[in-house]
Amino acid sequence: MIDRPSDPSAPLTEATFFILLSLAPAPQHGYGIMKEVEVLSEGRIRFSTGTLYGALKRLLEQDWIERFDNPDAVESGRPRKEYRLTDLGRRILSAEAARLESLVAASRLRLRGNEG
Amino acid sequence: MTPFINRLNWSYRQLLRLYPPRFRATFSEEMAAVFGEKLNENGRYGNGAILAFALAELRDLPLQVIREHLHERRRRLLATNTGVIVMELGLSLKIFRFFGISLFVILTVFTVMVVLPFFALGLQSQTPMEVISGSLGPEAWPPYSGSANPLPDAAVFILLGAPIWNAVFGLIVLLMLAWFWKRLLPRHRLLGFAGVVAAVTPTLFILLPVGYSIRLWWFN
Repeated sequence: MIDRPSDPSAPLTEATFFILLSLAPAPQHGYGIMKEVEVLSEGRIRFSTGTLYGALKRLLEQDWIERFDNPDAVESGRPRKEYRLTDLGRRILSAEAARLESLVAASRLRLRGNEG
Repeated sequence: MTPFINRLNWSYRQLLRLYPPRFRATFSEEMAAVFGEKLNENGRYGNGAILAFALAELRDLPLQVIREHLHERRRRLLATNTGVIVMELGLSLKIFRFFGISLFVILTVFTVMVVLPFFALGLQSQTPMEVISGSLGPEAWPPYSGSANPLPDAAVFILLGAPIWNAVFGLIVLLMLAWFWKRLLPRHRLLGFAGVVAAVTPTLFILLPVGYSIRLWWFN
């Protein structure tokens, strides 16, 4: 479940983070995102179809991702809809990755200090 | 594609009609396609895997549908000047979301399973003891529609079942509370507990000796 954060700098939910991360290397269609999130989260996050599209709708409304027709992939006679990160989405993902890195660095520092 | 998978695909497409029209117009084709792909993928592991996947989808669907309808209402509200003022005053729908959903589920289930049968049978609520002892009549509280009407077996079942339905409603709210726990603010958790207490209290009042004694003392 993904909520529109009242504070844009607020930490992302794990589900949001993984959806954005799955779109970082290349655009994906819905099924691809679902599979990618499952792999990235090591099976911990398994979206139902409704949950995934609810989340994608919210991300589209926030302009973190965009939807486009891929003419190279045709589905039921029509170009398949795919999703890709916007510049804003990419910046938010990078900021979140940096925030997580700083958390990990602080934790490692403190844990090493305790060991020593 | 097996007939079983075809039937599930068809059923899912019908269920997608429950979503708000705007959401449906944008995403229903894609959702049906993804559902179909997932079905085929699970089909490789047999009908059990297909069924497990379909049930998981079915479990999530009602909440997602309600959620999208609430979002749609919020969007429409924000599209009006009054809506903007209300939102700016801090009357966020988020505050009421959890309790609203709980109340909706309770009232709907209660109406369908208890109130409508009661009206259909021309009865008003009685305690299980009153039903068993046959003390129903114009003098009893709350008033019964009249001793001329014999009490059908179905009515006895419903009257005896009412406290159980209430307990089930309480359990539903409790499960929803557990489901949403991590995402809820403390005040939402408090509201959730209030919902559980509200749902379960009538059951305790009717079934527990202390509650039943209080009731007898109060109304006699």
